[in-house]
Amino acid sequence: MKAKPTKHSGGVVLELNRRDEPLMAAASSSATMSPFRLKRILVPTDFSDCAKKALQYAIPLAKEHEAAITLLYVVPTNYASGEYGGIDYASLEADMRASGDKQLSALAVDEVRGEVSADTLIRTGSASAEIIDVARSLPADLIVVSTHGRTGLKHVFLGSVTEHVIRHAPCPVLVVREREHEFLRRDSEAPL
Amino acid sequence: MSLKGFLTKKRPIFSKARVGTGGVRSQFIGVKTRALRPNDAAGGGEVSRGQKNVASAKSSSTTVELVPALLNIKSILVPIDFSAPSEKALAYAVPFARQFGAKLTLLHVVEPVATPDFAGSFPLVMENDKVMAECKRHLERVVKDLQIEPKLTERTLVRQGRSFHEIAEAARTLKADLIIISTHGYSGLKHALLGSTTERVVRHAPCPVLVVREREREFV
Repeated sequence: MKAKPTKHSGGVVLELNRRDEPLMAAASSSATMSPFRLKRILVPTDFSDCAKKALQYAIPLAKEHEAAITLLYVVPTNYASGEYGGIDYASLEADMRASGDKQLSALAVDEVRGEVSADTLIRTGSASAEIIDVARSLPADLIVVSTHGRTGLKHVFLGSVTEHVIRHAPCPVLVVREREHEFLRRDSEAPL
Repeated sequence: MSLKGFLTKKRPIFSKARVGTGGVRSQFIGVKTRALRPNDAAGGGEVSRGQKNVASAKSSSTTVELVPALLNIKSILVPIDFSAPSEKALAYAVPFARQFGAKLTLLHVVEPVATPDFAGSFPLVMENDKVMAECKRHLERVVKDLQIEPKLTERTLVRQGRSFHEIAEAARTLKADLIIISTHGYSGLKHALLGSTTERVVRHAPCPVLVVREREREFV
C-alpha cells in the first residue's frame, strides 16, 4: 500500500494492492450500515449568518446519512401596526413570499451546491409555530437551528423562536451557536 | 538522517489516514475507488516485456482517495439525571460515539442542599461527599446495565453545583464537541415553576447541543 497526499488538507490517496483489497471491501461494506435512521433534516432559516451556520452543520450530517434537507423560511406576519394606514397586507405578504422564495433558492444553490438533496419550503405566520408544524408534517427526523436569528440580540443567549422549537419539537433538535467550540471543519480554517 | 530514517519517520498527514473496520465511514467521506486499467488496449497486444510487467502490476492495484470528514466529533458530554429521558440521551449518545469514533463523558450534577445557618443539626441531609460517591457508583452501574462498551466511555463525572452551570463548565473544561441532553419537556405551569435545565444548558453551552426528548420521532 502506498500513500500520497492530495490537495485536500489531510486527504490521502492510497494505492492498494490485490492483497489489500479485502480490507477495503470489509471497511466499505460495514461502513454503509449507519446506526441512524436519519432521512429528513429540517433547517429553518431567516437568512442571517447564524442560520447559515446551522445549514453548514446540517449538510455534512445529511451527507453522512444520505438524508434530505428541507430549508424552511417563515414569512413573519406579526406586523406592528403603524401610522401608515392602508397597507395592503396581502400584496406585502405575496412580495415577501416571492423574495423569500428567491432567497431560499439562492441559499440552496450557494450553500448546498447539490451535495445533498434539498427542498425549499415557505410558510407564513409565527415562526416558532410554523417550524413545529412543518417538522410534524414532513415528518422531520432532526431539526438543526441556530441560537440566534436576524434579530440577534446579543445579550439574549437564546432566541425566542429557538427556545420554542426546543421545547415543542416532535424530534431531536441540534442547536448551534455563532461562536463556539465547533466540530465542523471548514476548508478555510480561519478562526471565527 | 539516513534514507531509512527518512522513510520510516512518522508524518502527521499519514496518521490521519486510518483504514479500518467500522471507523472508515465516520472518518472519511468521498471514498473514490479508481481501478487502474492495464494500458495494453492502445498497444493492441504489441507490448514489450518490460511494459507488460508494468501494466500487470498496475492492473492489480486500486487507488482510493480518502477525504477527511467535515464533522469532527471526538468528545461527547452526556449529562444524566437518572431519569427516563436521560436514558434516551444515552441511547442517542452511544450510536453517535460509535459513528464518529468519539468518547463519551457521563456527567451527573448534584445540586447541593442548603440548610439555614440557624439549624442546629442536619439530620436528614446526607453528606455531600457520600452523595457524590453514591452518584458515581450509580453512573457506573448505568453504564454496565446498558452494556456500553468501555472503550466508548472516557469517564464518569459527578459535580456539585447548579446543574446548567456545571454542565456548561464541564463542556468547556473537557473541550467537548457536542452535548447530548434530554429535556423533560415541561410546559405551561410546570415550565414556569420548574424551568428547564436543558434550556439553560443550551444558552450557556460552549458547543452545539443535541436536545432529545422522551416521546418523539426518533432517529436511532
